Amino acid sequence: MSNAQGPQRLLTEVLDTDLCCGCGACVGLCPYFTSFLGRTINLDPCDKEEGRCFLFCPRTELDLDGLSQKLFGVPYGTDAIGTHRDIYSSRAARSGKYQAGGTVTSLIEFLFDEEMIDAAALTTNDKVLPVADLVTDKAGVKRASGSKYSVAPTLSALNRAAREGYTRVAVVGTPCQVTAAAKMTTRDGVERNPGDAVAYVVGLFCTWGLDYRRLFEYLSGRVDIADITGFDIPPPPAELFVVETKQGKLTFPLAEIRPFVRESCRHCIDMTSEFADISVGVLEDNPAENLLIVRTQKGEELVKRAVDKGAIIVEKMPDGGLVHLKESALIKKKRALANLSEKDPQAAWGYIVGPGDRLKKIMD
Amino acid sequence: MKHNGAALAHDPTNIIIAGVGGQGNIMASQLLGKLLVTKGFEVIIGETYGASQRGGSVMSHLRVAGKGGISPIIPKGKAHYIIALEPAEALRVMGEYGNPDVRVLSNTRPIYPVDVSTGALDYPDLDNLKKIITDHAKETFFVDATDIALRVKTPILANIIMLGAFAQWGVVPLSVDEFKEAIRQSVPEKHLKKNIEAFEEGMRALAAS
Amino acid sequence: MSYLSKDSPGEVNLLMGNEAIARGAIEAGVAFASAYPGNPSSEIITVLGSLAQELGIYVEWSTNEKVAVEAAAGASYAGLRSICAMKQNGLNVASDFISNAVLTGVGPGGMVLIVADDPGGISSSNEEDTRYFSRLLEIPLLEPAGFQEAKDMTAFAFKLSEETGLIVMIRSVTRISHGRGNVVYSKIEKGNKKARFDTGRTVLAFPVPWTHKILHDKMAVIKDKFEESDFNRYEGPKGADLVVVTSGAAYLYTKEALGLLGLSDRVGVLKLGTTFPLPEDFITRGLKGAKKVLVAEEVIPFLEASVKEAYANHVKDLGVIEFYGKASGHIPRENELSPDIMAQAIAGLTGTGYVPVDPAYQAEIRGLSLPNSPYRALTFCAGCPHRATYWDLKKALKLDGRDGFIVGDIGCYTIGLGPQGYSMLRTTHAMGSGSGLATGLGQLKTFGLDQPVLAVSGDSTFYHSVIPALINAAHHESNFTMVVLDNSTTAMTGAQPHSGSDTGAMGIPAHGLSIEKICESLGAKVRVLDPFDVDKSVQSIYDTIQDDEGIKVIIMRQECCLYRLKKDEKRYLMKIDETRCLGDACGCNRLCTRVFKCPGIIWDRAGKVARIDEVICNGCGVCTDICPEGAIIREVNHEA
Repeated sequence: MSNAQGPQRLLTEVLDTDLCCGCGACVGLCPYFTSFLGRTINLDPCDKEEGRCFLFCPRTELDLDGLSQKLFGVPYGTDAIGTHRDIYSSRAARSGKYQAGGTVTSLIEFLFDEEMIDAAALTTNDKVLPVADLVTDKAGVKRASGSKYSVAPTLSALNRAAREGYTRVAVVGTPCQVTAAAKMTTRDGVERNPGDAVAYVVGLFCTWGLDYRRLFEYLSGRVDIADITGFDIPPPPAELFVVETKQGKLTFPLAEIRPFVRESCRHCIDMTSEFADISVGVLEDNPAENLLIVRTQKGEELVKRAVDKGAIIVEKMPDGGLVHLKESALIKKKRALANLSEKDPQAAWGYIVGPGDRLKKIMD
Repeated sequence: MKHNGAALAHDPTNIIIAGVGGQGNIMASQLLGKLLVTKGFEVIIGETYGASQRGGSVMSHLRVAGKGGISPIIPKGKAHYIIALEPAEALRVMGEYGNPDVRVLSNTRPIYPVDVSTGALDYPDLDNLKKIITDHAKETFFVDATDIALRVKTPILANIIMLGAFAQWGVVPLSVDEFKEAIRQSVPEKHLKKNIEAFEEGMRALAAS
Repeated sequence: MSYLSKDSPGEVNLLMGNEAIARGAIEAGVAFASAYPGNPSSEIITVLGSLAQELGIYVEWSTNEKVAVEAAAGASYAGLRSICAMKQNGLNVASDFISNAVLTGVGPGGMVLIVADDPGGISSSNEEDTRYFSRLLEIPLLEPAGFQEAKDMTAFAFKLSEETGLIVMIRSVTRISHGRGNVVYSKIEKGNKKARFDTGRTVLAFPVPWTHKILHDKMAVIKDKFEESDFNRYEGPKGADLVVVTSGAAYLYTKEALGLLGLSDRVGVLKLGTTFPLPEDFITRGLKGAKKVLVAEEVIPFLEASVKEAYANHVKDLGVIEFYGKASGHIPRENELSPDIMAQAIAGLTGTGYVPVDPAYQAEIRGLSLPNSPYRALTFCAGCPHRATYWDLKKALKLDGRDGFIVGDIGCYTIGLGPQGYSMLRTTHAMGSGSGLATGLGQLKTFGLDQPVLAVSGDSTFYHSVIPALINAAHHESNFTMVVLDNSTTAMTGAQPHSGSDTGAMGIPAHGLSIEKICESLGAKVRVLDPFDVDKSVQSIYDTIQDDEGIKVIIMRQECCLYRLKKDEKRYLMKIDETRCLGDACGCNRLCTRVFKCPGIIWDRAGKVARIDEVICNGCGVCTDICPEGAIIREVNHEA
């Protein structure tokens, strides 16, 4: 392994090893990386010794303690859902067609209303392919609502926003995207750092994402691809993958779809976007509500203001009510750590830099 | 073969016109060669232009003999005069065909090899390049032919400017009027004035150096 | 009137070898000329074409060499003198017809075949020595050893062809064809210009052993003529110890070497101009008394083998002779010869030694020259549409991500093999070979080949030999994408027109055939793209290779920039906004120079910015679209 922190190493350590999560952090910084149908593609060789692509990639040198200290002022903890200040159930105050509780859409709309942001890096379904979407006004927020089943290069929208001169950008992303955003915002001394333009980071819960191309290879013999309008995974114990088409719904056993989970997701220890300002997921027992995890002071202030101004309605959750969520999060961590040490026995935890003692503890 | 009395300083006289594809060295060698044939000399020109127009080095071997015995390739180390339309090409040719008595007339404007324009290699330091050439030749002239040509917005005329400088040099038994007549015969009417002016600029540039 | 068409016997002109050949044909009253362009042969037909109307002759750039030689033979059968020219590779294409025509014979108009070989492969993909074709096909062979002979042999070849009814082949080489030298003119014969096909004659090769016997009888007659030919001569002292047997350009190097060594009156030179059938008796006379024979020739030891064979037949007269040449290692088996190689070889055999220049000076200047005259890699010209095409193909294949690959052939676009064409091209063989390879590769899906297959060819190559491969592909439903790089001309060989052009070799209107219509008639799905429109081209190429059914043709159409600039000014005036150029910082890292590699843009190391070289830039404007920072500005050139 060389000491360089540039694109060549990104290629050998992340792209060539299938660890790329497709978050888009390296896309739009330069002409060399692009994202296409969920794959991150290196178009031409770049010989920089240090590159933002490597520095910001969530699958390179992830210093958990370092990030945690900078964001929360404490070392990386052992709580499976990450460091947090408060946990709420939440929903949009106004009624509307929202996925789950509509908390994220309402918050981003609120941020535009209050002129607390000038752009948002969101993810929108282009037919059935999730794509990065740089939204610059409230009207555009709603098109990004709804679940996605594969990762989009959402951070390329942040990179584009920074290039185009936006200075207060909200990022809504999956754990890998949030990790990349955190690496940007906490990194000092990098010129043209898109992290400088980040105002808020809103994390989503994520268990895994599908490899778009492999999913479609599977579906192409079974469904007319052009007719697909959407996907859905009903809550457990259904174990189904639903493909919505113009002709109606088709269901497939989830077990047949699972092999198309991105290799990268099998090496991800984060289910709840632990490095966000706030994280939002579905409240398991009540699909009409969100679970809202407040992590930073900035996140706390945002939630308070949104509640005060009537954008969202929150209710404190007792910590004890999250047993199932924590269990799932812990399983994801354990599996990822095991996969990492299996993938590269030389490096104890792959791309994750310490803290060894606490990671060991998680494993046990 | 009879020639019209004019004497060659060397028999055969070996002239190399060197440059980069697209610089017009073939036009220059042909013009010079035809002129020497009209004076009764035997001339052979060997061209290397497989790579012309595609960024490669190109070279014309112009050989002038009073009594035959010449081939299209000048033997190694046997050049008498080198006319280089590009300075690094002057040195490249000297490496193969130079000798302590070689005389060099070179344009000063570099044309970067693609490995230089892309930043992979450095172009040699121009002053050092000139010094090496000067130190290893009996006589050397540098003419800013491309820069002069650019003043009239016709960079392709650098070869005619170099030809003007060569005429002024006077190392082959041809008069300036004969050169001009040859240009008149080989250049289309509408470009003639510019070509003659360029030729005269070249003459002045050499006279001034 | 051109200097090439003046009827001025005795006048001396400086002619290019190919012009001398054309002049020889003109002096012989040629009426019909055909060729497919290929260096170093191309200028013969260019010159004749430019004089066609003045001379009242017919000249064409044929679709390929086989058609060219057949067309010329047609004229010959109708009583016209015809000439057909090609490079060494072309003879491979044309040889099928010739191998039959030797038995049928041609005529009554004489027919001359010019083949220009390229020892050293200066502008070729091989250095094939076509002299062996003369033995293989059994056609008489002449090798000019200079510019005067290039003209004189051509005129002579017509007469010989008419006397024998055989095609006569003249083998030139690059240094003759592309060199220039003094040529003394002879009179221009009027020549027969009245064509008539004699229906009393049936042109046939049957029964084969009988016509073959006739051919051998003719060869015996030709050999007798060659025994007396002025193109063969012995020069030097009688009974020399060492005799150099040589032909073609090697003769010139030999003579120069003897001059350099001062051995002209010690070493004999047996100069042969008629090398098949070999004038054995003449050679035997020339070798009489020799103890050592050095055979000097380029590439394959054709003469060496022939002369040794002749020696075996006459060994009683000649006694013991030691032979030197390629077999002995005195003459290299590859690449061109030169005066230096000959001087060293002769010096070695005579024990004289040859030091061309003060070794101390030479060592020093070479040591300084090497590092200070940087290597000039071949590159696409600034503004070349092929660079843009490979850029588009590269991106489309990267997006596709299935490890698609491109096979190709020979043309300017062969530069795609190297870094200047982003190393996109995987194969290069003969004209059109990429399309042929692709028809096979496109059938391998059942064997697990899941990579997209693409083939490239030029527009001229498309007509020359891609069409049969496409027919094969269409018939067998082979799955690949044919990319035709249509720059509206035969650029590699000097911008000759082709079957798609609306003028021909004679400068008069011709019927230009549409590549897309031809392909559509085969059932191919055709897209026409402008390679300079990068985004659209990438998307369209990507879409095409997603289509898994049958042959797809993409025509990348944009005129050759050099061809265009002969008629018009630069399309755009380019400049760089240095305040926006990121240079080698993260975010660009010199995309335009380091990666795109157009020589019109220069990386200024000191200033850490890109700059336009206004002398080199041809104003295509593509770099504006690839610069991530919008730092390369193009302004429409209103003079264009």
